[in-house]
Amino acid sequence: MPTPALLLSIAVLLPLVSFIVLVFLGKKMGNPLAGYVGTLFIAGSLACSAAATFTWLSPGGMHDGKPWGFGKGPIELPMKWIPVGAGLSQTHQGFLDVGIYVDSLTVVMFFMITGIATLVHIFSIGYMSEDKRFPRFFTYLGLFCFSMLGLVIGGTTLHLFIFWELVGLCSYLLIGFWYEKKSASNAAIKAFVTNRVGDFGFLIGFGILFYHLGNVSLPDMWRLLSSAGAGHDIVLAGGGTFTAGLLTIMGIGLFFGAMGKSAQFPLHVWLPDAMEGPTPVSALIHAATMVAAGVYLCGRIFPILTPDAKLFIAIIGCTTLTMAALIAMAQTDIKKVLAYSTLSQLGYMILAMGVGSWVGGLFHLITHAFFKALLFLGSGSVIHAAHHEQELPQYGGLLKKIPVTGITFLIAVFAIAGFGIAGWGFSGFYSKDLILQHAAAFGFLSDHGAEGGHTNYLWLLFWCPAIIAYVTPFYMMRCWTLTFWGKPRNQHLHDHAHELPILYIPLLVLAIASVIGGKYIGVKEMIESAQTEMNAIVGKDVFTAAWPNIKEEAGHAAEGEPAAADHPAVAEPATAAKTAEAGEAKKLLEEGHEQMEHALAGGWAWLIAMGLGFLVYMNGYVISDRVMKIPPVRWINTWLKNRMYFDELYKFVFVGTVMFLAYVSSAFDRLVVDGIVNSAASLCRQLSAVIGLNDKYVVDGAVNGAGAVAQSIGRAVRTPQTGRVRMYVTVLMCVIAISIAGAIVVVLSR
Amino acid sequence: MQSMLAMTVTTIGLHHYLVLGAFLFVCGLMTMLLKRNAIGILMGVELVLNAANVNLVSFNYFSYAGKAGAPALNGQIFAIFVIVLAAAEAAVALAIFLNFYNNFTTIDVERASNLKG
Amino acid sequence: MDAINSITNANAEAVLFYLFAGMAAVSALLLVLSRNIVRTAVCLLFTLMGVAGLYFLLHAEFIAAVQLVVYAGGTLILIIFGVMLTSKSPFSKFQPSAAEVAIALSVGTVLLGSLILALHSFPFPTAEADVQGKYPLVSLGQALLGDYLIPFEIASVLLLVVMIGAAYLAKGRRHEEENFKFHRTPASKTMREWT
Repeated sequence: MPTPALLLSIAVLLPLVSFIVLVFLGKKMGNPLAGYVGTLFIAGSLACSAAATFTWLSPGGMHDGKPWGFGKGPIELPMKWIPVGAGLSQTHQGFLDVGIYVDSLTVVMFFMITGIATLVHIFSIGYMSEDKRFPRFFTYLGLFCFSMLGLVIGGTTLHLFIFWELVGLCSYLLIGFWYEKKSASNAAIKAFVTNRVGDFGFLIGFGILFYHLGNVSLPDMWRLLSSAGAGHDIVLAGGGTFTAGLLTIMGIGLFFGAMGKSAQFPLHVWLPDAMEGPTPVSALIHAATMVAAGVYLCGRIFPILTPDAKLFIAIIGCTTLTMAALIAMAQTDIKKVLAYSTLSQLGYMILAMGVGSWVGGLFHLITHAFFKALLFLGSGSVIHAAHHEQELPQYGGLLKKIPVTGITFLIAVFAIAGFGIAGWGFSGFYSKDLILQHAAAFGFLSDHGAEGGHTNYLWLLFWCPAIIAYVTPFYMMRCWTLTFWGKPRNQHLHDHAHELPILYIPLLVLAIASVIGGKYIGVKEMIESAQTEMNAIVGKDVFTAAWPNIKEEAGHAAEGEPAAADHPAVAEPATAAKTAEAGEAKKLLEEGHEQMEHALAGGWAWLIAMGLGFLVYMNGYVISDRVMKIPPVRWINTWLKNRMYFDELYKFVFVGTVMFLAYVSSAFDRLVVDGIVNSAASLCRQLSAVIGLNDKYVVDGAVNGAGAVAQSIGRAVRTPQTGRVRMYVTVLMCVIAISIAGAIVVVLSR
Repeated sequence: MQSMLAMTVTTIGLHHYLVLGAFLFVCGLMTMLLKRNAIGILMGVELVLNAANVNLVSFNYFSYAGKAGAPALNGQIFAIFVIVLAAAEAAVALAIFLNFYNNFTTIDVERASNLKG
Repeated sequence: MDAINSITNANAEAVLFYLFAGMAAVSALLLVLSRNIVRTAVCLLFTLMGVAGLYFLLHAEFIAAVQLVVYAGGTLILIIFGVMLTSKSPFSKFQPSAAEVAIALSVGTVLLGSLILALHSFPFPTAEADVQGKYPLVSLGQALLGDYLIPFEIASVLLLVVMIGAAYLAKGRRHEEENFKFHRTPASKTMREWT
């Protein structure tokens, strides 16, 4: 096993060991010790990930000055697991495979997950110190880290699916950690059920894939279905056709799983409720890692998505990001604000996947993980300081009391707002710009595709995120100002606020990561090299193929090129076409960048929106209360505050449908069935009156006669009925013995 | 005559198994007759079932052994089913005995005579 | 040489047969004669093991294993639990009366005698068995899931029914237990007396 794969496997297994140790010994270890043990294991995991990153980037692993695999590129290690019938696997005939696939993306994800998990562990030692189930919390965290890391390292579809479900289970356990609270256990169930809805789609997609290809490893999947991006039917090597429609359904089905995990519209309802879990859990699961699993999955299935599936993904992402950002503006619970901002940012990532910005989506995933973990842990620190008060109207003026938290929180707000001056900024700046740039390029592309007209509804996929790029800084600044600025609105709470070093040390580390995460630590370069590695596996550029129109426009030079694309083995697009494509893409991206600059007011959008947010909420609710007096604003605010009534809508549609059906069937029962039964009953009564006469004279006579006979027989037979079982057996045996002996004597004597 | 007897003693045939089966059967029968403990009777039943199984398996072996073609296994299959049924029967019988014991505080079957005429 | 070999083999088989058959027969006899219920159970164990040995000789290795695992390992343990749960003093003795013994003995003798008589006067085939190295475990499985599929499935349903029924029966009815509580010895006390 190559060194990075070995190190990463150890990094996967260490949290599992921690889980097992804590399951059996956690209670005995007690309050601080169990936390230290859990933290130690996950820190070991972080060390392994760091070592793996260094070996990955060691001089042997550079390619054109960029990080590139371990010497020869990504590591594929499918392993035999369960022996089953033939034809279910590409690599090992007759076996279901699990296995490892490591590329630059895996390495980056590992570093991010273990890093944030370690910080969350440290934070939890302080935050959960008064909880009576302290050891169990770390047990669950260990299991969660194991499942998440197992998901990221997974090399076959089956492997992915197993860990995918494990992650879902852990989120259920952790959201419902305070299960005494009815709301918490309800939220856990809601999260689980909503995820099941998504996973149902995932299973359908997985089933379609499995039917055609068996349990493929990821690279095999890309190789075999690499021409999916063109939107044509694919002829499989073993005969059989994978039709384009089925490919689209498969892509959308798999994306449904991602929708559940990444809480995309319309399956987003669980994430805000999931804030019932302990705050470190929110930071770990619902900001940085688990919800990222959906985006990660999108990244892994990206090469096999058809254009239609991608469009669907983009629309879902766009809807989510718009809706969530609007709702976030009106929330009063600090964690709910963060939850909706998470939804919104996840919408950005999903949109990025849909418009073909693979790098942008995953880059934003990493940077978002840093600053969102910071925001959540910061809110945890605030909540801890405020004795578990989460409502913004109760805060105010906390900056002096908890300065470190306040400043790190502000840094995170800058990062999520996309703070950047003259091409330099915090981490969110780079990733969000990349996504917007691609979205604009996608808009231009759709213009080319549209017939004659110059504008197209697909431009919404650019304008929505661009407008939301103004909304995001506004509501984040609102949240910060209401918490840390102005006069204290609850004097008692303000007087008792304090912060602990064990709580703010992780915040400082994350603040540094949020500042430099975009540019200096090579995240983007790693993800770009992951893209190159995936292209190398497939043997062609699947990422520009995300834009089929480019292919069509630029590919006129190479006649019969689509036919060649159907056979990946022989697909070697003409070099001229390739260059033309690249040039076209570059031009589009430049146009897109320009468009984005215009839309974001030359890069000052963050300043305008943040300034507005600060000014409006500088004195608490004074100004906003006045604005709320205007009826339409108030109506919109109520609408947003109640989360656009999605829960009520779902209740109406799903619960209402069931109730309606129940009502209909009950009515049917009462009118039709009861009617039949009742008329049958009256008919019976009439008949029975007639029969009764017969009964009285004929039957009774017969019965009484029979009874008399039976009685006399019974009297005769009752004497040998002693009730003693053994006597019965003895008599039985005697009879059998005598008859067998007699029969044998008769037979033999003949 | 001498060699015939030697053959009978040294070469084990179907007869030997059948005689053993008959012996076990009779032992089981007598256990049922002699024990007053309900569980003892159950053991007798088990013994009888075992005797039947010995017969089934040995018939299977001596009827099909050495024949060409795929081996027929009817006897063994029957033996398996008998074992399954014996296990089921033992479970139900013990449950009944427990209930009986709960109601009569004894396991003596002579006491179970409430149904006498 | 072959002749010698075959004789040795035959003799080895005969020795093993007598060993196992003797074990089964002697412990079956002791089972009948024993007055102590626990000792009876031990005798049954040895009978079952002897019979399992005979199955090995008959090349029915699977049945032999099942016999050991299910019978000796499962059913017998169940019976011993039954003994423990139902006897205030596990060394309880219920003496049969002399008349009963006489009847049982005569029935047994007549049956055994007539059976052996019948066996000896019927010419069973004495095939020379040769199934070395082709024990058909695979065909056994195929038969169970092929020709005998329906009995097999019914057996599984039966086991389910038995499980539910046994649980229901053994649970007993609560209010009746209340009534009989004063009769009963707590299980713990039984165990203490027993050990």
